[in-house]
Amino acid sequence: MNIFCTIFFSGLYFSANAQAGFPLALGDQIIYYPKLHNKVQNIEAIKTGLTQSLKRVNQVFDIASKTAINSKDIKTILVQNDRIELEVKGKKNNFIWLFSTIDDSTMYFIGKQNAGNYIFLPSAANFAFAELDAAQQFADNIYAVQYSNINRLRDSVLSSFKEKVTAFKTAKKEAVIRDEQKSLFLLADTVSQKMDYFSAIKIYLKAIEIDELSYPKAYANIALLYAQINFFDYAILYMQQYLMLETETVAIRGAKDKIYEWESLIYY
Amino acid sequence: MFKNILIIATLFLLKIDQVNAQDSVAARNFFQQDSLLKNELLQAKKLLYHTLQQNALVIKINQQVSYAFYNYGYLQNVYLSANGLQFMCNSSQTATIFFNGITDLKFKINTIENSIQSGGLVTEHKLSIGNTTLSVKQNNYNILKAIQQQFIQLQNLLNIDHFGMIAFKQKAIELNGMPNKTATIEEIRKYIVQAEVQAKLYNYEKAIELNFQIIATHSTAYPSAYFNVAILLAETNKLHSAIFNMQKFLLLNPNTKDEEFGKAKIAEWQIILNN
Repeated sequence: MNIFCTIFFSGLYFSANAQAGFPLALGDQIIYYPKLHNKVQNIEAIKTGLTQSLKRVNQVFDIASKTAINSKDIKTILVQNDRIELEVKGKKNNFIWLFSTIDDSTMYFIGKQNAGNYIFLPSAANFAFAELDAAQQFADNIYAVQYSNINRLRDSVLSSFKEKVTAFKTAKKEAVIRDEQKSLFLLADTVSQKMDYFSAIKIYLKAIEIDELSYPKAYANIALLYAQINFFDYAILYMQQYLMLETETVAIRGAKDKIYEWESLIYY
Repeated sequence: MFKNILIIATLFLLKIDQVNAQDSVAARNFFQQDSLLKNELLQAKKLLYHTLQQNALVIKINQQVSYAFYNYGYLQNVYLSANGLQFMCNSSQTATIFFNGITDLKFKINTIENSIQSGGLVTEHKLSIGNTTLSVKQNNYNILKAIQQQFIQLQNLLNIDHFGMIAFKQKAIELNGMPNKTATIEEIRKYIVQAEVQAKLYNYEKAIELNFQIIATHSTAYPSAYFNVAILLAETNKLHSAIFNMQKFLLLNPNTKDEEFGKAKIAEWQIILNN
């Protein structure tokens, strides 16, 4: 299974850096999830964390220049308020990765049995660590850099969704699930029963693209599927969308509890 | 008309007086018990201090610093302060036991027998209090036993004070008299869910912290928080704290089944502490 799949929000790109919690095992690969130490991110603590962990990096692969940098060639590690900068032996220019690029990047944190730990930022670089705790520290701090952006994106997705829900409720139209959608929902259920959660999510997203508001439970199911693969930020977002559509008290209570549960898994 | 108003006003004032009287009785009870506790605490500290002072010459002090153990020699002098006891030893080194650090300590005497070259045995009794160990030779076991008992007594009084048991009992009495004693607000609900998740993930420290957040939000709205904290503290080997939190839970009138379970747990933890 290709774990580097890109996950979309309905018609909208959203970085898949939202994972936290228990590691997810896929064959010999284990996907770890970064966590946050605090609700408010402190840039000085992030800089220290990144510097400390980069001192233990074994290899860095720069995507833009397609250059592999070995740890023994790294002369200086400089983490500033807006960037990570490496001075490398024999290179005239420093390697620079701006936080603004990392912000929009999908982060994958993968460990392979006896083969190191990799943090892959597709638009910036791939960082390889022999030691898991160093990789975890690096990933946690990258996640902290990204977190304000995650919140911003979530707020904007929710506000535009709210407008659609309000318009739908005002129009007092009856929600109709089309046959095409129904078959996709059924397919997604079958796939998720086979524990192929990534594919199930993709099918669900395709289904709600047809009509976003016809089947509120789809949002709860997507949220639960994201939680299953430990993408808790996504799970929270979809459950919040579900809450905007759902009217039944018991279901609302359950959804809110799930959000609380996932929020607690994002933080240490 | 005026007469009626006057009667109503008098009744109203009588009612206020009654409420105030009840309040002042509760407040008086609290202050009486609290000052009694403070007095008992002071006496317990002094008693321990005198016992240590009188037997200083037979007590040897060992101090653990990180992973190393240092022999500070025999006790020369003891100083009692509001924060703890300071031991001056004949090696000119000092060891301190802080009162706020003994909440969850188990005071157990260990006996160690060492063979000596001449073929005999030297028996030593050791009482560890955190990083400090008091030891005496075989024939002074009773002195160490008395010190142990006094530490246990002092710890109990300190814990009653530390966990605010007197004020809590007062609050529980007032609360149990009210018709609707529990209320779950959304913020508390959030902490309940999160504490459960963390406990399931074996993150006991985090689960304890979240349960304490429930208590901090409203100390009596969710009595089970005390129960959960007690169980989690016991899991993290803090049995004294576990007992006091379970006692708080029992004070909030749980149902019979929970009450039996809570009492059984306290008994179980006390057995562990006494052995």
